[in-house]
Amino acid sequence: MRAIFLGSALAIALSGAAQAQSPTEQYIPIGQTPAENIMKGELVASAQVQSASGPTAFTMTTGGAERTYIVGPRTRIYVDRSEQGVTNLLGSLSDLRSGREVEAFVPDLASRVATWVKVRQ
Amino acid sequence: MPNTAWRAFIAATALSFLGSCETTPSTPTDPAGLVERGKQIFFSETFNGNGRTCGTCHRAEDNFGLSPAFIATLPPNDPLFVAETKPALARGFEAPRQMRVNGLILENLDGFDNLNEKFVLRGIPHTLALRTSTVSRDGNRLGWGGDGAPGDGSVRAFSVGAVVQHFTKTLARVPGEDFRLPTNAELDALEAFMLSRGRQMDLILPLPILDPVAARGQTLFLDDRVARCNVCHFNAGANANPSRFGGTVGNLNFNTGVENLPNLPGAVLGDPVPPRDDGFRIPGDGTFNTPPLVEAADTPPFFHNNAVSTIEAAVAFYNTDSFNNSPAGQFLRSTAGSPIALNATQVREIAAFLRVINALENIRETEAYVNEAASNPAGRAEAMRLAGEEVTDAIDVLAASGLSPAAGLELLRAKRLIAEDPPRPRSPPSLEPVLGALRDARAKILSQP
Repeated sequence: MRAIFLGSALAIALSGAAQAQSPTEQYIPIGQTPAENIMKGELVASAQVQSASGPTAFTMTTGGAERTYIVGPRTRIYVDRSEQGVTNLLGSLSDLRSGREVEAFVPDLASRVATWVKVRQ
Repeated sequence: MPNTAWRAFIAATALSFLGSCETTPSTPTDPAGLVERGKQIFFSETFNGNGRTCGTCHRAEDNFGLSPAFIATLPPNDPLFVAETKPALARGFEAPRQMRVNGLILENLDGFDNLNEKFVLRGIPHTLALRTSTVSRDGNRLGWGGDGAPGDGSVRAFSVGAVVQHFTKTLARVPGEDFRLPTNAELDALEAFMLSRGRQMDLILPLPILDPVAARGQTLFLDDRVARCNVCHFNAGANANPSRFGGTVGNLNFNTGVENLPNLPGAVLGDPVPPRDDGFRIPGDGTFNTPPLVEAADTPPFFHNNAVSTIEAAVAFYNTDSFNNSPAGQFLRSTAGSPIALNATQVREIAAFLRVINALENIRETEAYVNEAASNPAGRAEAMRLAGEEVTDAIDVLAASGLSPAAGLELLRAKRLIAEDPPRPRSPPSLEPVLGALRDARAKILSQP
């Protein structure tokens, strides 16, 4: 039993329980991320950003409902400029401006931490 | 032209135009058709990019990987070498000398905001046995770091990331201009094909191996006090031992200290000197994904950075300070009370075991290709060509260590029969003699085939 505990602790510490991501996500336009059948839950939705509610969270509306998600230390923010035919950029919280179309990937709904957020420029 | 004829002409023209807008055939509904469609995409589809396909780096003839030895056989205009032939990709896309000499490919795994400094150089892993090696209780795990795919990190999503990283015409990577993303139908087909390659399930050890050296190696492999391989490579696969890590553990990452080895090939060549690879996540935590071992012996070089070139050297790595001082090494030390300390004979024995199980897998794969040839006359020549590659792998992997010479003779017989198979037979000869030779080879390796 102790071996299982130690092994499990090591595996969690070493493998990372949080969802990993590939940086190539930066170049996938809003609405085209292949995210299906994720075991721990997923949320990918395009919406209008209502407000940046602080340095670590943002609120978006989707399907008429307001939802607030957390921008964690590993959350990547991408600026989608694909409709203008120019390269997408790595963004920052200041890009999450009210009124912009946004898409968030939140694999763990309970934590509400976004793995990445894409905002349309 | 009368009005009715004109309207019919317009309608027919419109229908043919709409039909031509279909850029990809509709997805077959039967699984075998989906796999075949995926195969076509894998080896032929460039996604409007720089000319590369999935098969550019994952060659069927090289066990769906790509070794420096195979790279050396390619012509200068092969799409693998686009960084040398296309000015837009001349800097920041690949490291051509590292590719040609060490088989290393450039990846921007910490982001694309500084292409000249933020990159890693990694070997091209094979894509065999993916059905057994990509799922863990912590999510999907693909690639050397385990985070090789965007989206949900699945095999299905992997192709999207590969197109973005490796297929682009320019470093701007603008979708619709530098490449096109795969459609959902294409992703389905690619996933079906990729999952169909190689083993569909893990071995159940121990096997009744006849060669005494390899049999001794299996014993050591399974001994959690000596080699301890079975802790992280359960049944010589990619998954961790459930008795150590819990029942649903699946595939895990570990920090084994490979990056701490001195004189890594990429650093020795130094053109450029690769930045330190920090593994999983951004910034990395130093762990790398566990690959399966059944396919290891004939898919060198080994580890994410192609650090060593033989299976014997890969086994010997676990004797080193780099490993024993690593977090994974410390964990195994804590469970057994001492670091791993294999003597030279034990290293050879474990490597022999890995060679034998690899040869068995090559035999199985040869049989699969031969059966495919027998059932598909149109694809017989190609299937038999790949069967020849597989049986050659089996012969070489055993002969390199003097293992199972009797099996080697049977495999040579199978190879000769494969080579003698006519390319376009009017009356296809039976392939049962080939299958018989392969069965005889297996019977010389396992006591109860």
